[in-house]
Amino acid sequence: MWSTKYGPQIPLFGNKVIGVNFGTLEMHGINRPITWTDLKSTAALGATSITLNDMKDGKSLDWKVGEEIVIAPTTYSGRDAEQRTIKSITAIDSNPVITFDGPLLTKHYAGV
Amino acid sequence: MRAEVGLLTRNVVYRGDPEHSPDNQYGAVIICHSPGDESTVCRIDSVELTMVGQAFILGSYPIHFHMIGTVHQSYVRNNAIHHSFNRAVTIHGIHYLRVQNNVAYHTMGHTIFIEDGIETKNLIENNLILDVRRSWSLLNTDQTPASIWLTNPDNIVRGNHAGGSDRYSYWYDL
Repeated sequence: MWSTKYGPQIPLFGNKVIGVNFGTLEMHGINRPITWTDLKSTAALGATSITLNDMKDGKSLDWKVGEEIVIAPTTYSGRDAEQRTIKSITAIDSNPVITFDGPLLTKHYAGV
Repeated sequence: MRAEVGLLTRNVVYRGDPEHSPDNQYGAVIICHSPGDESTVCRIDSVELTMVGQAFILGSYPIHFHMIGTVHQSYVRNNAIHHSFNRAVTIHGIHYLRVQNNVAYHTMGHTIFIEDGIETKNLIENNLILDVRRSWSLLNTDQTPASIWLTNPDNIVRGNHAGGSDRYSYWYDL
């Protein structure tokens, strides 16, 4: 979507917008069975891989090489979430191991 | 306690322009508005929204449900909303909206936002909300942002993970 705040405006909706008024909007991507999960074990500072927790409800992970993930922070700063690109992924039915370029800049804890 | 891991990629992408949006904080938005129960239906599922939201423009949020009333047929689920300049999902004058299984990351201001206090029976379930940042271009309270801002206790909020914010996770402003 391209525009600036100085471009023409639709009343109430503005611009650079999908505006729905007495209508139906359907936006559907391919369903991803798991949109987020958590770690099986702590990922240390400097790690280039993570191990994900047990898959639940018979689901398996369909995340693919080249897709983007984000790992939640467990430091005292909410800004220590880390985004990475999946380089490889294995064992999608049990405890998937995901590797990525760029070592982690903080520890990401998993435990009681 | 376990660090969550969210998927940001979807095959359908709704986004601002990479050349300008990150600099001018003027991203793309979706606004669903018409007066009257069920008068507008918005079903947004498994979409990636990035470079979205328009800083300084009150009401221009990545996904904004506005003054429709009941929206039994609508939902916002399984989406990834990341790098937003103005919230993620706003629910204003809305009942019975389902907001489920979304990943929000790197957003500015209250990220899932129930606006007025009239909103009831909305379902906010199993969302992951990471890296909520303060906004100086929105309401005063967005300078100390919450992952989920709630103004009416008669909404169902369960299974969400608020995993990092510049200030608050859940803020009930009653």
